[in-house]
Amino acid sequence: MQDLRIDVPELEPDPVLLARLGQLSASSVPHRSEGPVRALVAAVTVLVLAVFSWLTGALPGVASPFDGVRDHRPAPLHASRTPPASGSASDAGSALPSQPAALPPGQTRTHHDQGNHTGLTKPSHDDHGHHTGLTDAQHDQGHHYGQTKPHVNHGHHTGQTKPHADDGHHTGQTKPHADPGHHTGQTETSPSHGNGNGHHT
Amino acid sequence: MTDDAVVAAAKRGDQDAWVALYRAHAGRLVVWLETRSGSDGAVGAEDVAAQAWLTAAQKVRDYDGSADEFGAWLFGIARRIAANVQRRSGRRRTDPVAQTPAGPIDGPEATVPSSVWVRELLSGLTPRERDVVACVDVVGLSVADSATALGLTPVAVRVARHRALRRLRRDARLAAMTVTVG
Repeated sequence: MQDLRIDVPELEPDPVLLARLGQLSASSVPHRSEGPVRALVAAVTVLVLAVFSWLTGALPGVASPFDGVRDHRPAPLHASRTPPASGSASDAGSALPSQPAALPPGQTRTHHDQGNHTGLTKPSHDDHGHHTGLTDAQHDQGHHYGQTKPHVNHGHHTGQTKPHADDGHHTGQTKPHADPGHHTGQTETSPSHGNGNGHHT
Repeated sequence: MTDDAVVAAAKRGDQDAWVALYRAHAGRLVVWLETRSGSDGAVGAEDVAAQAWLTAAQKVRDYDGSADEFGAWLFGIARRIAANVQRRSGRRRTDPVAQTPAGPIDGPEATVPSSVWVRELLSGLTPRERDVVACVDVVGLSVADSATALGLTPVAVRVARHRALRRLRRDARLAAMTVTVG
């Protein structure tokens, strides 16, 4: 394939073009440093945008750290507790034990709830969900599973319970309390038990 | 790889150095551009070559190499300029006029021999094969310089050249058989 070769003669540059080439080459500056600088600027820009999106919660599926702090902030332990309403006190009777001044962290304070709870609940709030686990004194008409502390309740309990005024049904060992409801299992005698109208087994 | 004296002088703006570089590479740059396809009729190979020289002068500080390897770098610049011209002509097509000048107008590169027959011979190849054959076999660049000029690997250049030459031989045999039968 040597036949394809063309004998190319030498060409002489035009004087105007030659002067222009000399002028441009003398004033040329290297541009090699622009690549890393551009990459660095792009990386910093992406990082700033990502952090801003994360802080504002704009990223889907990633919660903002400020939202998390706002939602899970614990209530102060020395916060004043609202006294129970007179109506609820009369309903609970005089057999209610005195409540401690402060509860350990994690346990719930008085709140009005009509739902079921699962796990440790947060400080006082109005909730209609379901809860299961340790709960403190509360006015609740929902269903509870596990150990509960004294509270005014009209719901059903399963497991060991502490003394409280309750009109519901109990299954298992119970401690003395004023309760006109039905009991199943061993109960202890208590002078404050009074004359209940329920059946004891 | 260090700059030789010619490239170093060209970077300083020495016109004698540019004359040496121009004499060494300008002719085959124009021939190579003429063999490439897709060029707009309104923009000739000489125009692309002149623009490539000006761009090379602007970016000569970025070049590291010898005067011999300067051709591959210059061909790469010309290839990109030709691609830009082709894209621009795709958006703004030019139509040839019916009236042509009375006599031929010689440009500054009129001394370059006509390569029409080479262009016709390479017309049956793919654009890549045509560029490779034009670089290696027509203007005499090495495989490494052709790879640099075309933005390919040396292996890709060899493969494309092998396929192109095989196709050219097959076409030549077919043409000979046609002539014999006729």
